[in-house]
Amino acid sequence: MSRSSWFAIRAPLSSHRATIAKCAAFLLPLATWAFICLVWVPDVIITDQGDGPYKRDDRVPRADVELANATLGAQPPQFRLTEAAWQSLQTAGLPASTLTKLEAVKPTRQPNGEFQTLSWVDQKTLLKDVRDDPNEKDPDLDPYVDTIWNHLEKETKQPEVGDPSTVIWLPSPWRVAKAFYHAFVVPPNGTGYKLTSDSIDALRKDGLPESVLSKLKPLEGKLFAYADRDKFEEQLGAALGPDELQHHQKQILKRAYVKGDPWLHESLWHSCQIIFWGFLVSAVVGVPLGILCGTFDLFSKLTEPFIDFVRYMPAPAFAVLCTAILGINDGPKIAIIWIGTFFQMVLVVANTTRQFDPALLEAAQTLGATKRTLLTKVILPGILPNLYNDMRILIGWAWTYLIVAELIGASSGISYFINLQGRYRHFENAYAGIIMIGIIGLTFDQLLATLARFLFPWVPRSDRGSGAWASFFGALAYLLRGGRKPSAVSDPGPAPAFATAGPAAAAPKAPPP
Amino acid sequence: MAAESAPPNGTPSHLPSYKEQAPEVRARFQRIYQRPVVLDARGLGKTFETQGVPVEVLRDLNFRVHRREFVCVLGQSGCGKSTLIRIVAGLEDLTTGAVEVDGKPVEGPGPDRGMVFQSYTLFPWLTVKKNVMFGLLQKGVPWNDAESKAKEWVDVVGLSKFLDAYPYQLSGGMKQRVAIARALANQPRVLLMDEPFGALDAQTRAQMQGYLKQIWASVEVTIVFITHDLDEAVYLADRIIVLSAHPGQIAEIIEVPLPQPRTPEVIFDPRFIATRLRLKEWIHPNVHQAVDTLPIRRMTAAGDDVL
Repeated sequence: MSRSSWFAIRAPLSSHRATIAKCAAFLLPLATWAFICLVWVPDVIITDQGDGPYKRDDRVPRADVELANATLGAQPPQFRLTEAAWQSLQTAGLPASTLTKLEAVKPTRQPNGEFQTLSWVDQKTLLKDVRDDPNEKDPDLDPYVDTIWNHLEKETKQPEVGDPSTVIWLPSPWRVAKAFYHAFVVPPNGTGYKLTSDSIDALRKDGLPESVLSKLKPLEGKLFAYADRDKFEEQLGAALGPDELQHHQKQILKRAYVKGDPWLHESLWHSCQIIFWGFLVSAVVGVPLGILCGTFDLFSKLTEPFIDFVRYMPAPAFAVLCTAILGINDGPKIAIIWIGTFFQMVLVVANTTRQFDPALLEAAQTLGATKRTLLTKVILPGILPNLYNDMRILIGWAWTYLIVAELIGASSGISYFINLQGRYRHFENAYAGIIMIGIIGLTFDQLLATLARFLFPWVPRSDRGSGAWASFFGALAYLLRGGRKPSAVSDPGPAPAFATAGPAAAAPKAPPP
Repeated sequence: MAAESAPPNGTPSHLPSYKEQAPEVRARFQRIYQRPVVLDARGLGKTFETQGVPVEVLRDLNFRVHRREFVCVLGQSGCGKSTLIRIVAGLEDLTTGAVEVDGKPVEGPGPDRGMVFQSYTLFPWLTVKKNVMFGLLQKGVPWNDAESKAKEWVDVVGLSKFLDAYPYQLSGGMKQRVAIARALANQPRVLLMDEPFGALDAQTRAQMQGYLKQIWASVEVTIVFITHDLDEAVYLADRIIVLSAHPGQIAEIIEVPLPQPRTPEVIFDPRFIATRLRLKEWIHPNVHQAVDTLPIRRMTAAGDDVL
């Protein structure tokens, strides 16, 4: 192995090892999650109800299932007197008096030729009808009870059976992955087809004749899920004639379409829009103000004390106020994002501007720069890379205010989606939503970082290495090699005890990697 | 004040006095004094107020710099050399006296007093070419003219291959060359240089001194150069203004008795050594006394001597 260590103090890892560590940063938590979900499975998802109380696909704690099965097993056995049982009783060797008594409960032949058998009954019920006195001993029956039971058909209670599963609030990674897939493929709750009076009015406006509309009236009000589209079309076909159906089917389907809960990507898009507008309104005023504060002490002293004061007021405290002023739709949400980011932005941008090297300002002055030029041609381009990084960080803050903002007024967006799925107890979807936010945030930030390399070519970059894919596959190859450097010449084998310099020195002619 | 005419203690007797000038050198200085005065300081004084306590940094400076002269300002650290040059550049205000460039009092910074700083102050977001064009564009020169002039100046400093390089791609010496080109592109009356080669290694510094002399020889520019390096001062300058510290006052204005142009071998010239010794008196007094011995007892093996 190479001499360099994984734990060298204050020294960077080699690029392959760094890539491996970066991949491990995501794979390790994922592996831990998967491991926990394989090992800790206290619940059971019922696959076969048997004779128990829990229905198929219920998720029940294992202890409850075992209790239910134990209860089933502890119940007294039940029996049934079938024709076959009666026949075998005849030949069982019971005394005639006993058989005579049992005649009363023997299975009777029906008019259609089948025998009526008793349903499952327990001991007491079966012999109650044939005893003279239910409370006293009967010499004809009591000695032969066991024989009778052995000839009867005995019911076996089926226990509940299911697959082990994790708790409801910690779905396994593969369930979450499936939920991810479903979130984009399966229409959410409430999506489907339904003819309402509004849709019929709309069809009337589209120009459908009254004759057709009157035929549709009986179908009004019934919701067909998206998956049951065929059934809806069947019903339509039953109500209208084939010509009318062919002519108007598309239109009817279009007007009858009912949108249910929002799709995951729709929620996300809504959230992205809110963040965008909130951040834009912040930046349009905040960035120029911040730059002015950092450049001119007058602006700084005029505005910063007040901004410092407002900064400590938490944005959610303004929720009620914003709803009263701006209504219940997107307005208050954008306002909360604005409140959360604007005041921080001014202070951060002012700080960045103040950190601009004053020696550069002096140099510009000795080159004849006016005050205006100092601001526009020296400070502005000079702070641009740092301003860009500040904006990246502030967008991250704006995302964290998103959850709060979206619960104000009419819930919408991704937090509404997550809460809704929680209410339905579909925690996989909630996890999918949360992870989605993380993925979007990280991807967007990395995109911005890559964009910075093109926007600011004058910033020296610490790693001038290859791109992400190249480093990924390079690191993979490094792992498979076991960490050794590649050599073009195969190993020459163990050297003899007194190796001469010649062949050993001649062998490694390969160029250094 | 050290005696002006007697040679310093311990001076080898074969060295001439630094005041002896060969006839051509004297004639040259006469010619210099005939030229118009570019920079005139009269009674220049500066007092800083730090936390309510006034600190006098410069007191009563009087000197004149003539056209196309090379003047060095020499002094120990903290003697106010940087403050002096910043006052001349207009980046600081003086408290007493007056300083005039071409007869006009200094009001603030401007392109007529170009400056080269010790920390490289190239604009990192501009290429070399655009850096040099900066001052010209400020003046209102049209883009194409500015571009061709900038290319000329970058040629003068020998960096024409690096026109489109960014400052982070350049070495220290190259950055200072670009800074000089950038200042000279504005054709300043005075080029002020605040220890420009202080951050460079000895090799690069020697190279840059050579470049600077070449530029000074070919370009219409007066140079005021701050340094703490005695060799550099004697090698480069016509005259040296020696400042003493706390407060900064002119100790002496020395005319360097060596002819121009000077080659690097001039350091062996006895007049060079004499001038240097004189400067050393001002800057590092009493150094030629015996070095104090430290109270170290012998800790090496017997016979293992290095001295």
